[in-house]
Parts: sequence; C-alpha cells; structure tokens
Amino acid sequence: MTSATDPNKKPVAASDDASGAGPMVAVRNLRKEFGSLVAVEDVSLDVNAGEVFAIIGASGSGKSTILKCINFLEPPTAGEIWVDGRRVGVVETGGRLRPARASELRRSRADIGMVFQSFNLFPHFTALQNVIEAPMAVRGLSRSDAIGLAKELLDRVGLGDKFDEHPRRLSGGQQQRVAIARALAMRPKVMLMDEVTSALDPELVEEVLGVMKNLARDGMTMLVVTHEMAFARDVADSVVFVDGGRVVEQGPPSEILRAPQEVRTKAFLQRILRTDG
Amino acid sequence: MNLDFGIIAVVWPALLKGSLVTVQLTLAVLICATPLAVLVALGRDSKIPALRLPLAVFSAVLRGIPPLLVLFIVFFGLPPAGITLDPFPSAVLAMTCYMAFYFGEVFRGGLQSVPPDQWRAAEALGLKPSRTVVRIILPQTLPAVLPPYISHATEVLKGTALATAVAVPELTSAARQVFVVTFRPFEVLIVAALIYAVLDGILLTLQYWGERWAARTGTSIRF
Repeated sequence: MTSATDPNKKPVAASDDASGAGPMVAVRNLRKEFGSLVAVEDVSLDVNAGEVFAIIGASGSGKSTILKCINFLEPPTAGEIWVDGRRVGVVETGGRLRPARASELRRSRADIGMVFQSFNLFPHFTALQNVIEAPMAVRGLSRSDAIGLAKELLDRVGLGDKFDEHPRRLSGGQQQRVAIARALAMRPKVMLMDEVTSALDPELVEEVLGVMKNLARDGMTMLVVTHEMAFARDVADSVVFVDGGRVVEQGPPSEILRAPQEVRTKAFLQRILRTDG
Repeated sequence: MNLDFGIIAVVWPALLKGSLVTVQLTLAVLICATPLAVLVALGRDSKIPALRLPLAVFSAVLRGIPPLLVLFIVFFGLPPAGITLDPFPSAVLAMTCYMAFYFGEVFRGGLQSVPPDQWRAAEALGLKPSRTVVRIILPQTLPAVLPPYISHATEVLKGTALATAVAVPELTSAARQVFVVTFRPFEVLIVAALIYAVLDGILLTLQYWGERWAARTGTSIRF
C-alpha cells in the first residue's frame, strides 16, 4: 500500500490492483543528475509483463542511464522505480519511506537481469562458472542444481559445446550469449539490455538478436536500449525515443518508426537509417 | 684463506633450526599482512574520507620509518604500556604493521587494474561485496599483483633477519651464534646465504606457477 500523505506517490502496480494486471516495470518521474549535468529528466515509462520495450536515441541521450537507474546501479536523483509491484531502492516501514539497505538492493537486483554492451564476463571463469556463480551465491542453489540450470541455459543460447571455454576463447557474439545466460540464470522478472550488440562485429549481431527474439517469444519482459532499428521494428511492442534525457515520443513501433510525429524523432531516424544503409 | 666446509657437518642442526624459525616468521607475516593489505587497499580507495585519510597517513608513516625502529617500538615500547610480547610475536606484529601497507600498495595497483565494469557486473547480479572481492576481483588482480607481491615477500624473508635484534632465533641469528663458537664465519655465512637463496627460489617458483595459471585462464588479457 502506498502512503496517502506523500504527494509523489502514485498508485502503480500489480500488488495494489485486484486484477493483478499492473505493469511489470513502472518508472515514475525519473530524474538523474551527475553533478550539474541532468542526464535524465522526468521520464515515466510502463512496461507490461511479457512486453519488449525498446529505448532508442542518440548516444549521450540518457537512455543507458535510465536502464541503470532501474536496478539502481545508478541511484536516481528523484523519481520512483517499481518492478513487479515493488518499489526498488526505497522501503516502506511503518508508513515511512527510507532508502533500501545494501542487502535489500541486492535482493531487488537479483530479480532484474542486466546485459551490458561490453559483456563483462568474469574472464577467469569458464562459461559455465560465469553462469553458476550468482545462482549459487545469491539464490542458494546447490552446485549440481546450478550446473544443471547453467547447462540448460547455455544450450538455449546455442553454446551447448562451450561450457568449459574461458571468455577469451569465445567470439564477441558467444561472450554476449554467455552473458545473457548468466543473467537468465537468476530467473529475473525483467531483463535490461544495454546496447548489447553495439560492441559486436556486424556478422555477430544476428546471433545475439536471435537469442533476444527467442526470449521475447518466450514471454520475457525486456527493456532494450538499442540502435538496431530492425529489431525494434520487428520485435518491440513499444518504442520510446529519448533525447536530451527526456522522452520525446512513445508508442508502438509502427507509429514511432514509420510515422514519427516529432521533429527530433524524424531527424534521428533519418540519421540512423542513412548510416544503416 | 683455507675454506673448510666440513664444519657444516657439525653445525647444520643449528642452521636448520634457524631456517625453520625464518620460514615460520616469513609465513606468519605473509599470512597476517596479506588479508590486512587487501583491506588497506580497499580502504585507501574507499569513498569514505574517514577511512581513506587515516590510512593514507598510516601508510606514509609506516613505510617511511626504519623497520628496525618499528620492531623496537613493539618489543621495547609496548611493555611500559602494559603489552609485553615474546620476541617471535613481537617480530610478527611489527613486520605485519608495515608490510600490510607495502602489500596494500601492491593490491591497490592490482585493484585498479581490474575494469570497473567487473564490479558493476557482479553488483547487477546481486553478489555481495565480500564475495565479489574474493571470487571476482582478487583473482583478476593476480597478473598485476604477483610480481610485486613476490618481490615484497622476498623483502619479508630477508627482513626476518632484523628479528635477531630482539633475540628471535632465526637463521641469521643462528649463523652468528654458530660462527662465534666455531671461528668459521665465512663458511657458515655462505651456507646461510645459500639457504636464503633456496627460500627465495621457492617464492619465485610460486610466482612462476601463478603467472602460468593467469596466462592459462586468460586473466591477463584485457580488452
């Protein structure tokens, strides 16, 4: 329940709703400052369960910062983050709000998978070890259960023959697929994908997008920061265009990508489609 | 000069005993100072000034004064304050005090060699900081840390000879006692030096293994 005395509070969320049909991720009036720089300003988003939500925009527009605020890798300056009906980063006890403790934040993060542009696999671990580490440490899975889960997930991303390889022996596309398996191993409620194909050689992009399409088909809720307009068009349910830290335009891909209303959206799409060829 | 290494056949039990004390002292200091050094390294780059600043001062002071003086402070200076330690623990404490800061600098460099994204990846998975340090970050510091760590460990090994000043019966002290009664200082000291060389060699072997492990797992590769 939310406190009626707090004017900032908005009744979001599945838990409050008798039908249980609130958004899986709700961002309310998010603001993030780095020193005097305002990176994100007044951003509000609703992502429904099973939805693929693409965030597009130029580099430096604040789109990656929005993702990092959702799992509090970057604590927001102001605003609210809700995942599956629970506030992230803020805990209500006895009608009062306080910042979440580190342990409470870790619990929230465990439910929010994140995949990075630069993969960030643990280089001294094999593919399998990368995937089993967090389920064992955070979820308390036994080693054999974690290995079973990891093998299943690595199989699912097409790396059934790479369990014992170290990251440096894998291509960028393979590393990124291990990173996706590592995030999935936590059984997250939502996956945050931060330009996951931007660091890849062009011929490796498709194998990663393929895995993401499969995830989308299996009903995974995803927030995807991307420059892959074809992916946004074909796979996303909603597209939001971010510029200067603000949401400029939001809607289904058919509207945003084919018939943008805002001048800035049009200009951005023209630029990016020209470079895409 | 007539060299007579036959004398070693007589005095080797004393030298062996001294060597064992040297090894024990070295291991005790390494075992105590290494985990402290990791904490020092984390603290010195901490976001909390109340942690960072005192550690910076301690580090500068303890690395700036003669090790022998630290040893004397512990052995002669603490008893009036009501803390009386035997020679061996005194030597362990004194050497741990300053080596924690020498090794601290080593680990600091090592921690800085690990990309910040590694911390973020662990954080995003919900791993605890302690587990992140032990399982994710420290192993990756190995290539950067190992050579200076071993070189400092060699300093510890050599530095144990200082403990002779507070009557710890380590190798140098044993060698001195032996040549004083046998009047064969050269032979005895040469053999003591050889023993130190062998112990150094063990440390260097550890470095070699560590580097091979790092190369095999690709920890040394950065992109």
